[in-house]
Amino acid sequence: MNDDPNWDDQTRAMLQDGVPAAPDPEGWADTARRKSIAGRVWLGVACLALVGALTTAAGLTFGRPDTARPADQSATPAPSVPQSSPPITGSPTGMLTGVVLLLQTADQTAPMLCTGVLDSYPPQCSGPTLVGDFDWSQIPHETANGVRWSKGSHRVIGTLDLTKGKYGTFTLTRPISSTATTSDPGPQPDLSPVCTDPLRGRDATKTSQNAALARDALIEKLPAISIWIADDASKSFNVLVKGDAEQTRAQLREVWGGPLCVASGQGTTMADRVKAVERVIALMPLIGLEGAAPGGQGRDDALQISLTMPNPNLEATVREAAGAGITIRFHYTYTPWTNR
Amino acid sequence: MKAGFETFVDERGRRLWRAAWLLTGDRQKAEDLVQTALGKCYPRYDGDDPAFEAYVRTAIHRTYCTWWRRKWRGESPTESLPETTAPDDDHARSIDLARALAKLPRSQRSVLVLRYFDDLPVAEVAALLGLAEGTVKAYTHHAIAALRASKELAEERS
Repeated sequence: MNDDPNWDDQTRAMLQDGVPAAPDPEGWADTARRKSIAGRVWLGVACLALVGALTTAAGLTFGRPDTARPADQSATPAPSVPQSSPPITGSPTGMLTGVVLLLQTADQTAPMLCTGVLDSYPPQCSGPTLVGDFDWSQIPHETANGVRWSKGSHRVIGTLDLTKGKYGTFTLTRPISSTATTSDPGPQPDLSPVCTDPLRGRDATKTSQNAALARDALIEKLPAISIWIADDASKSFNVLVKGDAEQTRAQLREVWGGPLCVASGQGTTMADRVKAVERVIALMPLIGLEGAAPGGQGRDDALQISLTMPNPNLEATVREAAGAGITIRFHYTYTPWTNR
Repeated sequence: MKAGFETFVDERGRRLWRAAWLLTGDRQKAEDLVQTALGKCYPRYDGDDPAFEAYVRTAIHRTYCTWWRRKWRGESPTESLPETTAPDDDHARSIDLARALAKLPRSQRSVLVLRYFDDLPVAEVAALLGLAEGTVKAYTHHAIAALRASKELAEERS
């Protein structure tokens, strides 16, 4: 994505040439085998995989599963990162519910409840340990390489104690339904186009993959607030930008000839939100904070923050880290449950 | 010992260590990281070396992130400088590289190593780290911009 292909080669050479000579791996195989037998066989959640909500330059996927009550919050000023852990509520007072995948590795005695799952075979994830009336025979599941996981997600109702165990303990208060549930993806962004003439200035010779890459590279240099593909028949590439929309449109038209809409807007730029995401990620590990993503789909310029459950202290900490002027949308894996 | 595993480690261990060094900037930490990842992956070794190497690479990056999560509060860029051995031009270059990389956020460092040391395409890096492709591209862009601006590497280039 760099504008200077020489820098790709230079970076490659720098990394290849700058690494010192590796030591002789004698004994490593034996050490690995002994470590494995010692029982430390699990893959933790990659800190980067916690960046859950997705945005891409052209593709569209939105949100994490289990978003139930996104709350629109504006950040408070003072973007300094707090030096000590704020008080985190580890044991909620009420019952919670969430829609999760169940997964149990060979060395575990109980399944974990997961939302962000690595799409490998078998899948990988981590989350609170399940306690309560559960048996794998209750739900459809698959097994491979000693790993067992549910086919689909299931609603769980119970209590969550984040202070117990590596990722907390979820205690069921009701049996899990045997039927898989489609998790509520939450409110969907407005993906309608921002213009009525996306074909203006169209050039069929500039619609290739390379043209799209050039378009995406140019977008990164512009003060773009958000970008999306319209969900109408035009499937136009839409950009909300700070500043002159026509000038931006002309710049994009030099490299991209497909359906295109550009409009001026207010809000934070994608670049600023990426920096805000990094400030939030720098808080980790922080109990209850699961992921952060820059957002920027549709007209929504909110940072997307994933939390295990609603937590005012944690949300205040995240808002402070994200910085002034950043709108935040919180998504919760578990939300309060009431018996209706 | 699973048949073939020792050969796998002999043949591919050094390269895995080099990637781990780029992440940690420290010889011993790199060795610890590789051995921990190999230990985690050992039960899944089935003789398919290319697939297993990819699996170990994933474990290295994920373990690196886990370690970061435990140590992040006390760790500062100066704490991950490589120890000194015999001073020479290659060694000086390694130290400059380690210092420049240490200034990158871990996310960007991981992306940079996977894209430019392991030469993986964007889609594969995204899948390995659980990121969107756009995020991988953004992190690549920021990481390279930071390296271009780093004074340690400017001295190398001049």
